[in-house]
Amino acid sequence: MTNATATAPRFALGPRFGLHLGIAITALVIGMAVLSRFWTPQVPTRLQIANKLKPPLTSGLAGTDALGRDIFSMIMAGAWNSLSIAFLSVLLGLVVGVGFGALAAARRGWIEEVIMRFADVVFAFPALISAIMIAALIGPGGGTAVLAIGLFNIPVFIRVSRGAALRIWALDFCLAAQAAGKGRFRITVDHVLPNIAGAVAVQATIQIGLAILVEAGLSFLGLSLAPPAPSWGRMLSDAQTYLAQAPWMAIAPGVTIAIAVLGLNLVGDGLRDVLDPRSRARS
Amino acid sequence: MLRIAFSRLGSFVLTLFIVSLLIFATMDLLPGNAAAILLGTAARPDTIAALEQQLGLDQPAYIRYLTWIAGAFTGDLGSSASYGVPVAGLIAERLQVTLPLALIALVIAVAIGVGLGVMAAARPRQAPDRAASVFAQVGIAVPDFWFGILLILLFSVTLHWFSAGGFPGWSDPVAAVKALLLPAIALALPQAAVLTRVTRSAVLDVADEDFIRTAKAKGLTERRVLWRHAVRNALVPIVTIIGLQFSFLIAGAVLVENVFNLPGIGRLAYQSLAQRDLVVIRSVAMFFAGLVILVNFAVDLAYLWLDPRLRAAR
Repeated sequence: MTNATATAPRFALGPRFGLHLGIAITALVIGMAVLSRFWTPQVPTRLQIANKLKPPLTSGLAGTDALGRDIFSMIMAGAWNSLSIAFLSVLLGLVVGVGFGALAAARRGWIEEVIMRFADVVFAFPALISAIMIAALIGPGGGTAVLAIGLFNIPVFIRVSRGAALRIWALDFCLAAQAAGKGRFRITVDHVLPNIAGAVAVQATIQIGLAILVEAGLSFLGLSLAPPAPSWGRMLSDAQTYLAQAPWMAIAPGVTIAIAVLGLNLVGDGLRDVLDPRSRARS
Repeated sequence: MLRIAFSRLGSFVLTLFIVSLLIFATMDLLPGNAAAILLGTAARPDTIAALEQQLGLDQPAYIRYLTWIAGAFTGDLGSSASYGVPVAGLIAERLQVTLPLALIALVIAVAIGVGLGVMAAARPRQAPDRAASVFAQVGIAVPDFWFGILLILLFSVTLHWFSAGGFPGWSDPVAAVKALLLPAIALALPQAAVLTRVTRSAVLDVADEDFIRTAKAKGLTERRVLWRHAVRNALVPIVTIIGLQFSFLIAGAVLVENVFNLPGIGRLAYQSLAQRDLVVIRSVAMFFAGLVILVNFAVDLAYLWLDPRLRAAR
């Protein structure tokens, strides 16, 4: 199976093609989100009923929706909302998760046991289900979305950081630091955290992509930011009502979500290859 | 082997217990209570008190918890306030849609994912492999519910091959399966994409092992080496991912059921939220969480069966 590779024609696009493409896409999406804070072709929330359901290019780049809002402007503004919720929720999961993960690796024993059991428990809640539970208590909104997606990210980062930290703890320089009398907390801060930062960053990139998908799902169900804040997921939910008359309403937001997630995943995979050359040999 | 299985069973039960406590605590003890939330802010205190009594909310918390858990075993989970029917019956009825939906999706995902993954691993870096990896990258990035909307746009709105949603019931099995087919395909896409990647790298991982060389050396056909030896040994990571992905399958089911207007448990969860029906939400949340825990427990047991080396370990 492997000896075939030597002679087979390869469809090579350069070793870092995926990473570079991912960075370009991600920069474009972030740029669009930031730009939307200062400028959009139209005011994304302005209703122009007379101009409703116009196909792409007849009014604006991506047409208008059932209330005459400019779809391209809504997608730009939606990028900001989607990215900030995704970023904040992953940040929440990362801070809590890496904290517990590093603690589990540093202390071992029953503390590790409790933390890993806690990770199992939190992992049992799909983000959508916790979002429904949280929304039942405090109502839907951006906070609900950040909390639900953040919770779901905690066990992911606990597992990644604990696994990576345990490998660092087993290395000679950690043993040397212990022998020199350094405390477990200092070793974690000085040696373990800097060395697991790469693995955590790779995971965070991929989790932000995943968080964008989950946020889109939440706002599709109306569990995320309240209208009129533009959101990719709600645009898709509006689009479903007009699927026969205005199919373009369903195309642009979905394509944007997929491209944004694809970009982040390519960056995550590319970074992993750069940081861990062994994984590249296989992919 | 049996000892390991029992210790897994112990942690399975413990996790279930903690999860049930957590759900009960968030749904029953945190600010507001089911009766007041249900009746809204304008309700008179005596109306709230009457409903509290009807829902059993005047009992101490531990009694309410025990009643709920005992009910999970006897099939009495209380009554839905908005539907006015027993919650257990409601869940059982909706399960007839969600369970087949998830199973069909899983079968499609495994067929496509393992098929493409093995095809990719058989000829690494050649055209089929590149095509499979593009499929995987795109499939992971496309939201399943949006893919469902696209399927409706193509097959219902444009081609009129399928209805755009709804469920005719199981009295006509052919119509029922037909109604579940598009949603199952939508649900299967991201799972198939993930499985393609995992299968490919798992098969490539074992491709260098000695027993594969031995199998080739004794003259087995490449196809036979691939499926009987490489894939069989790549099953552990594949099964792991099916377990880990199960939580996404459930989240996807909630969305896809709403896109296709299917009366499943996911749609029930969403509708109960709109009705502020906490009695239903807590049991549905417990059902979903329990299912995720159960699947991961089953995956743990499957390891022991698939990989004899693990039976001796620990």
